[in-house]
Amino acid sequence: MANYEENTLSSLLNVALRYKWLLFVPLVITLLGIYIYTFDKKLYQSAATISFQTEYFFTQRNNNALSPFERDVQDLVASLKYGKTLETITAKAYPKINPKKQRKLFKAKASKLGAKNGLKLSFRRDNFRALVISYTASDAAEAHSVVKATINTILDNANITSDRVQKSIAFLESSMAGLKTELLDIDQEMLRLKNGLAPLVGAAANVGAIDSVTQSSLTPDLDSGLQRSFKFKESLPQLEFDLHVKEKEFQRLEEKLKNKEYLKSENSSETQNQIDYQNDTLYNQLEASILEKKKELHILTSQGFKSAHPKQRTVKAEIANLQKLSKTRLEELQNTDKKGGLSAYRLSIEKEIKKDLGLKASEIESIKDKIKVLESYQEDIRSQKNSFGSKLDSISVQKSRLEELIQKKYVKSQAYNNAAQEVEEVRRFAQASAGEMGLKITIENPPYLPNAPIPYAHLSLFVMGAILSLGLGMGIVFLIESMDTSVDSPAELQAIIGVPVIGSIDKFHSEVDTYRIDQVDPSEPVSLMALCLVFGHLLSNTII
Amino acid sequence: MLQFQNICAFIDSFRSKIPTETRLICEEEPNSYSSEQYKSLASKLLGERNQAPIKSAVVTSSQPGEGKTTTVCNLALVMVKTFKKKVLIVDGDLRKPSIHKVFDLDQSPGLTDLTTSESNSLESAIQQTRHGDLFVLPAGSESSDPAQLLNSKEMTSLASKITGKFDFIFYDTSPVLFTSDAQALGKHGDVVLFLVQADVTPREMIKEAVDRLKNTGSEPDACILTNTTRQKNLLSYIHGYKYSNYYNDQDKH
Repeated sequence: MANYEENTLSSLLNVALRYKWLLFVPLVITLLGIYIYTFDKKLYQSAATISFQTEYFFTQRNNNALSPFERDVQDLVASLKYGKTLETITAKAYPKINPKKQRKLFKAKASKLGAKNGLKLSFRRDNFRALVISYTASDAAEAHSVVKATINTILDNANITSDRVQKSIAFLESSMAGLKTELLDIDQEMLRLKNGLAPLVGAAANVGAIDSVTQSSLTPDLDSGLQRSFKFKESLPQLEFDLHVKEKEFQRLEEKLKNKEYLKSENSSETQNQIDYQNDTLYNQLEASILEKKKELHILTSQGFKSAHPKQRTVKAEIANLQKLSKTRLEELQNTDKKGGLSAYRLSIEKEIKKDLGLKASEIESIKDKIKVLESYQEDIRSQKNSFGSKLDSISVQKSRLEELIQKKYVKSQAYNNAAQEVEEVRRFAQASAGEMGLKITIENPPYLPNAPIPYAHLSLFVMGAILSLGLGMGIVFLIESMDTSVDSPAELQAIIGVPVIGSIDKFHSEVDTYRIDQVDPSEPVSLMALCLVFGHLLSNTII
Repeated sequence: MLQFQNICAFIDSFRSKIPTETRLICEEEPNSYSSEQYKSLASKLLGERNQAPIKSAVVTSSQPGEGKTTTVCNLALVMVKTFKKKVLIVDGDLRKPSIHKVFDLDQSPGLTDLTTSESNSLESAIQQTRHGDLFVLPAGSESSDPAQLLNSKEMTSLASKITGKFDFIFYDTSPVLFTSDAQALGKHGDVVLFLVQADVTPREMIKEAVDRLKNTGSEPDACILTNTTRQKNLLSYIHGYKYSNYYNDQDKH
């Protein structure tokens, strides 16, 4: 429709009337179909009324052990026994809703329970603890037996027998056994995954394809071989450092040897100490003579001889001579060391250094060998890393599966614990209420075998059919209308071409075709007759 | 309980109205609602344009079957019967002539004969209908090139000849989108009336037809929407009923 045309109710009606056959024909077909479907269909209804009296309490948790149908009936029964405080129960179930609505919801729950099991459950208006159970079927016996069975179920649920307690416990224990099996399966799968994952993760970590965080999250169970391989990898920088140190030491020794640095310190006391002067007899005699002469000089001085005294001058000259001799001897000794004794000493030092150098060289060689191995290992790792894409995918899949299993395990464990707790509660409850079990249920009207069919619910079916068919028709009509680009009003035409519209001519309608209410065309279509039949039958069933 | 007849009447109200074959509704049902619509249109056409009375109108549409002939015939009839005018209908649809059929006249001599041969006189070609002052110039013999004929000097001469002899002249033409005849005839009329059939003609066709007329200098002066639906809503049914009853009652009196 154009923008300038208002979508008023009038325009909508106009559209509907224009395509009235598209609305009318599906309506007639639908109603006719329903009529044919329901023609001569017989339904039988059986009903019974029971009333309840409160006497026991049944825990909500315990209901979980029951089958779904039993649980629903149990809910209903448990709620009914609280007839006086119905609002309290419904308030617990629907806390944010006002009491009126709560009551409505409770009734809806009861009717839903009935509908789920093909039953109709309703409370008697005069007594809210009285429940009317009815069932409709095409067979009278079936209707009767279903109502009877329902009452029996409710009666069974009303009494907590030891059999029921055992049944509940058995149910829970079987659930627990199932859960246990599932938990074991999960554990086994987790173990399998971890075992399969460890080498993959180790290999990935070795080539640096996964970060250390991921690695640590996935490698709690890595085998020792892999751990060693990590250590081996880590030792490479240490080895390189060691090599550097050794090479430096080696170079220093070589320098020392080359520059003969050890000789530069031969006059030091350390070197002198290494020369055995005290063992030279001549030198010792000379030194002893000097000492004696010095003593003699000292005695002479103490005896009052002046230094210029010839005795003193003689002793001094002797001392000087002895000192000269001693010095000469020392020089001789030293020269002797340089020529013979000291060269032996040098050779021994050089020998030591060379020995050290050999040692260092072998150490360096050893380190170099290790580095060579590590480098080849690194090369290998690099090539592995390049071809590691698919393994990473595999790790990712296995990791997510592992996480899923962990989650599943948690849930199952919770369920298992709950079931175990529930078993305990059921046992406790059974012991506690051993003496006072049972809800008193009175059957006010027992179920009966219906002997006559009930009127079929034509009206609702026809109304639903009419609404649906009209809705479908309207949908089609508005689809066609939305695709129609024709013009239907002077205003629209004027807006399109900008030329004034001086008038419009209607479709010709002769007088006999004009709407009238007092004449009936004898040539009415067959559909009209069919519709009348439907209406006639419907009205006779509902009104008469 | 509802009566059977009432149900039938209810269903009847939804029944589709089948369009009648009658073309001259102003003759058959002079008091009908449609006749009144024609009368209203005719009175507008008999007015003035640029302070000069309108003496002729070329009626065209975008495609066939939009009601050109029906509109022309009924308007002419109304002008004769109600407004007591002397009216000529020129059947300019040389490809599918139909005016002569409506008034039960001979097809020739007619327009083509007058423009192609000098042997036929205007008086012999223009035929009087049973409706007194309503005259028809039929299409005439079949022409091989109607467009050329309608664009000829002879056609212009003929148009000037008939102008002034009648109070009003209608030129019925062929559709714009199928031929160029309407464009040729457009210059002979005081106004060009463009007909559009409601709920049928797509907007694109309407726009294209008007553009073609504009491009040839025969821009439409006014539009008429035909075949509209009177029963717009349920209330209109009641109005229609009242209207019909009003005239039925008048007839009885």
